Amino acid sequence: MRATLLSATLIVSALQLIAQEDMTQVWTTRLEHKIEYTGTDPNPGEDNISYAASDKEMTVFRNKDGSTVWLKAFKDIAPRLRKIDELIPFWESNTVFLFEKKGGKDVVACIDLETGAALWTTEKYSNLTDENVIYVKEKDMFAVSTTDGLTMIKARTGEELWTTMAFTGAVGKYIIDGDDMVCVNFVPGGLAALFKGFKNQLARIDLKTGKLKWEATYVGRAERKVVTRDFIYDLKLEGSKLFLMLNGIQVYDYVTGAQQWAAAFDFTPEGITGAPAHAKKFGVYGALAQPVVDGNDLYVLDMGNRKSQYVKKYDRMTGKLLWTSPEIKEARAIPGMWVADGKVILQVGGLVETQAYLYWRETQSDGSVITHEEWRVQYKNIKPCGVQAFNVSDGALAWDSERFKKGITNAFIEDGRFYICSGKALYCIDHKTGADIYEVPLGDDGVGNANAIFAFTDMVGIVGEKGVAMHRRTDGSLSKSNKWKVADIESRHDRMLLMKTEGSDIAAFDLNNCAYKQFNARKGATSTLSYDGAYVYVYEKKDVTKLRTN
Amino acid sequence: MNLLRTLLPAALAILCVSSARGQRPELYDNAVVQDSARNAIARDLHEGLWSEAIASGELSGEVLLELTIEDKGRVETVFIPSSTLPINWKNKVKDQWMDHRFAFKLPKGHKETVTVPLHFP
Repeated sequence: MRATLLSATLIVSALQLIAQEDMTQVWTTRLEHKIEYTGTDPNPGEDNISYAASDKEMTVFRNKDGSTVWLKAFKDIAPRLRKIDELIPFWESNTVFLFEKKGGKDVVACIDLETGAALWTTEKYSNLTDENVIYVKEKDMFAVSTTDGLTMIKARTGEELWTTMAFTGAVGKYIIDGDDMVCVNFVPGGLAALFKGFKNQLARIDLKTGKLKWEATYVGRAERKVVTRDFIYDLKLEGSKLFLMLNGIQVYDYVTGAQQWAAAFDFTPEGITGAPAHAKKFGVYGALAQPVVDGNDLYVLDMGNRKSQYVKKYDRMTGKLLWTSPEIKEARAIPGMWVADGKVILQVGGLVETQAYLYWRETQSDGSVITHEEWRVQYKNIKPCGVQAFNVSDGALAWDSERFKKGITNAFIEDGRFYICSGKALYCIDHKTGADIYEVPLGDDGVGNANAIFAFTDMVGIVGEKGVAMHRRTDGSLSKSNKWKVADIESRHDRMLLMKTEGSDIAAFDLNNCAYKQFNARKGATSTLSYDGAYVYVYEKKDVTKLRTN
Repeated sequence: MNLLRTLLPAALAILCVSSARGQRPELYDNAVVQDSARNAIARDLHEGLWSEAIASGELSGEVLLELTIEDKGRVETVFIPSSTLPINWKNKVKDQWMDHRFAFKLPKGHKETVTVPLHFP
């Protein structure tokens, strides 16, 4: 009996050791220069390349083995370059833009990533950022937006096809349809003052000539996220209708540009949570659920009024308002909306994403000044919280749950049931009636309060404050859990979930068994998960390390 | 061609009179707009624009400009349908008349597209 117990203890200990081991290093390479700029090819492929650069030199290496493809000083790539101030990769075109800012006479060089050869250089463009340039893959051209207009440039030669001032601001989300591009404009961050006379534009541009076939206006701010640069809206073309999902929905005739109807409401989420100290740029995202389409029906949240919010149902083809729900009083955020089995279910309150760019200068005791720069993605819990459901037939309140007043996670519908956490407990709810199917406390998980949940195989995955737990969806019972450190989700690829602490430590959790492998990085290290989640690339000081996540 | 012969002096006369008075005439006919724009560009070149580059042979070849002019007489879009110039010169020629304001205007809300062939030298 004693022997059996001892064996069992040893096995459990061994399993725990396995579950908490460090990530295996595939390779490490020490570069000849410090690392200030990094880029890991986000596209699938086994023989991709990545780069690391200082302000004077750049190394491109193979992801497979870390071997150097080329190492060059910028002055040798383009004679007009000395020290770069900005580097923007365009992975789809295999090019990188290098910028040297020279007070209004910036040098821009377009470099071939595979060879390091300069394709073209120009001194025409000043104050460009990654927001001002997009690569139009379908035409192998760059669209560059400046205060002097929008210019279409052939990617490999720098040949400018046309310039127009009819389109102001930068190109946001776009759709290519043959030789036409339909796009939304926006003011690049920090450059609002430069784009005088800016007006919200949705335009259909003939890419061959630069002429606008039509232009229309739209409601809202079609911006990108501060750190991850994702667009916060969507643009879709369906037959002859163009749908812009921004602050609701705005529908246009694709042929003429005439607005057919709109259910868009003025909503600025920045006020629902404060910006961190030293924030130069700040944004709040995901506070308002996107419109939900169900056949020809469209459900939109009206958050235009701070005191009262509503769900509105429209006929998606005609724009006819079919009903308005009763007031959803004083909701500051409604991050989730689902339509299923005759009900519209709302998640009121919960986690919203904040992104901030911080910059500050600190004077030391010896009088020297240190500048700090930080890009921060965080999640904030916004109250009040709750779950409400309305009938799709008439908009009447079907049920309302009070049990999430102290906290709420995101939610999902699977197996015809609604899953959500209060933070301390997992709930499975029959969304048709609001009745609990089960309630399971999460105290035994040992990972702190639940921050977020997700569906994985037949499980509910729970991302806690300090780890990950998996519960069976059938009855909510705990399957596996593993405690780590206080961390946020960095990214997820299928069964690999990458968590990152404020100190840049990372852990990759295998969702099949909750085992994780970790890597203790230096504070400020940059880590990027490979396209398939199988590897992490860590960039710190002069070293690049490739680690296996499982 | 006859139409051009008739319209050209009329357009020039209008431009001269209006510029003397500091006003911009409003033009209604595409042929007149085209002619006025071509003349203005020809005048710029005649006055010595890029003369050194042309003389040295650095600027040599042909280019076709397509200008879209908005109602205030300002060039809103420049498109180059064809060119035999080196790329740096093609880009420079395109930029030269981008945002240029001609000495005429168009009816409110109206736009005109004109094509201007240039030969260097």
